[in-house]
Amino acid sequence: MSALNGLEEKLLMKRVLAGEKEAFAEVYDFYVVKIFRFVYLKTNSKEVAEDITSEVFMKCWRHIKALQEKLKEGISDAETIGPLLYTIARNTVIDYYRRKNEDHVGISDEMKEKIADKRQNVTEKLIIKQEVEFLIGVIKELRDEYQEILLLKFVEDLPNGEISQITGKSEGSTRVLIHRALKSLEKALNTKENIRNSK
Amino acid sequence: MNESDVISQLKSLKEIEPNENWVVSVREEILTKAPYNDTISNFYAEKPSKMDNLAYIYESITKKYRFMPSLATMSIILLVGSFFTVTAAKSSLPGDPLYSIKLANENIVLAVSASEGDKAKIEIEQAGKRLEELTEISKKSSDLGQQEKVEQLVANFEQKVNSAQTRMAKINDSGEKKGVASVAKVINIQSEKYSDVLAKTSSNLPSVIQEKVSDKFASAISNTDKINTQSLLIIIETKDGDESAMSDVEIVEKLKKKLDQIGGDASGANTTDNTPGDNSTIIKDSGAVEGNGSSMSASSTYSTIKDENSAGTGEIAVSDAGAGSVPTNEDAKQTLIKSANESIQNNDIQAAAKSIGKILAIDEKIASDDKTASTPAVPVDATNSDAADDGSATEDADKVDDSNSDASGGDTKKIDLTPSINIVE
Repeated sequence: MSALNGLEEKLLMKRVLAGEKEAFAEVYDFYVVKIFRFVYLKTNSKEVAEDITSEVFMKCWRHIKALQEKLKEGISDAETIGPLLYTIARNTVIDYYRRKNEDHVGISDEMKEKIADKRQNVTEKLIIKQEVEFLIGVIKELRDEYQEILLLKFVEDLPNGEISQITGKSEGSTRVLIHRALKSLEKALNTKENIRNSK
Repeated sequence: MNESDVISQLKSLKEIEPNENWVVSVREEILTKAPYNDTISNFYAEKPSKMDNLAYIYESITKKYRFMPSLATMSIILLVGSFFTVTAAKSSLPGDPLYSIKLANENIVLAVSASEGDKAKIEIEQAGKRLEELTEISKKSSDLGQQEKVEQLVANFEQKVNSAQTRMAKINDSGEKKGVASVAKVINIQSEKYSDVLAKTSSNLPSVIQEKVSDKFASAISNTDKINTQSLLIIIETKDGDESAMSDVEIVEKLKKKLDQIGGDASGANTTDNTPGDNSTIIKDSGAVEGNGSSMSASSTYSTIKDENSAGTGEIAVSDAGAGSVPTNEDAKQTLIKSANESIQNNDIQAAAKSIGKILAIDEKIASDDKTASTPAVPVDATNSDAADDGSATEDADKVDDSNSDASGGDTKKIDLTPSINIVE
């Protein structure tokens, strides 16, 4: 599914704020996979990602209600739904980790299988599984803010403006952070690659 | 590997997708959760009574389908049917077909409650429901999956209690005094009951299962006790002369009980014989006790702790089994218990609460030390100057009075639970 453009986003949010239930269904359909993937890569558990994702949509619904009230009183501007959902997802994951001190980014065997299944032949499947595992392992060793920015930028394809809304950083520092995160991942991948090859 | 290779590798992660059945079921769940099946604006409207709900639904249906009253009646039958399903689910137990509906219903209640305080109260209540289920399950000795169900229930109970505690701490951090006091009171009262129920339920289980789950029960009980203590400390901390949350008499009773409990645990864990009033554990005043520099207030109480009965002797008589060895965290605990007991005798609730807060911090430290391969007590910097504000509970009478006024004036701030205390000779 291609991304919504700015106008489509605004129209959709307008319908959601007007209380149109079908519009919220559209929001769900458009974002559920993205939010699931974002949460999954942060929690490394299918079950946890499922729970958090459904919680995110429930919270979003409640937030919209509060927003309706604020809009009525003229004390707030309408938000865009995408960054709103990612922000809720991000905070819900943070809350989850406050409760449980677990390992961050990672990927389960089940999901690796799933990615590999999309490939054609058996040999390719095996290589893909190892590659995904390897990549996730390397990402996991990066700083938290690098991990997050890489997921938002290159997996979720969000524009810098939206990323800065989600992370609360300026667009300038978001750009710098993306660049540093990418360099850091590149360096880490090359180092690990060399170690792997030398074995 | 260059930058574009890295980006294309990252893009491969896009193929992570959720299970399609899950996507569909959550979609249905979210879109049908609105009580009026209407617009979002109605979704979080003030909760009407059940009868209001039905009347509203009947009215909307007959309005919409004016010429089809039978359809409206049929819909009501279906709705009433689902109402009874949810009601029946309320008494279901793990393993029952309706149990998942019960849990889902609880999640909805939690999701629609507006404030953190309400959520915390709801969660502590829901933790109680897990205990009711646990009591029922423990009676069914013929149940094949009893052990798994017990484990699952204890885990779910702990999760609810911990979540309520996290919310309480969050409200406390936000400085919302009144809000946190009411939450802390509910948590305090309930958690006290829960510890007893857990202990009782555990003893009712068949011995084969009891053995296997005893660790889980012990952890749940100790966790519940900890939360009970934390909530009590918050009640005291936020009290500020207001007796609405809990009366002084009640608090003193609770503090005494808590100290008996902690004292019992501590003397069980350590050979030190240290009943209140006994001077066998004496820690010399200046420099005898040191706190971590990073935890200013945590170190303050210790620095001037001195047993009045031994004044003048200057004796250091830490009655640990290994005489002459470095005093342990357990010794610090004993001193604090003593100090807290004395504060209670002097009616200084705040000072007693501080000491107990620090005992909790030591417990946290012991627990984390245990996790990290039990490192020995680390001697820490003693250059802390924040030493004289509250620690004089064991000083002579005049000084106690001074410190009391200090404590009630300036020390109604947050109780520091940072686990960073150790004592050295």
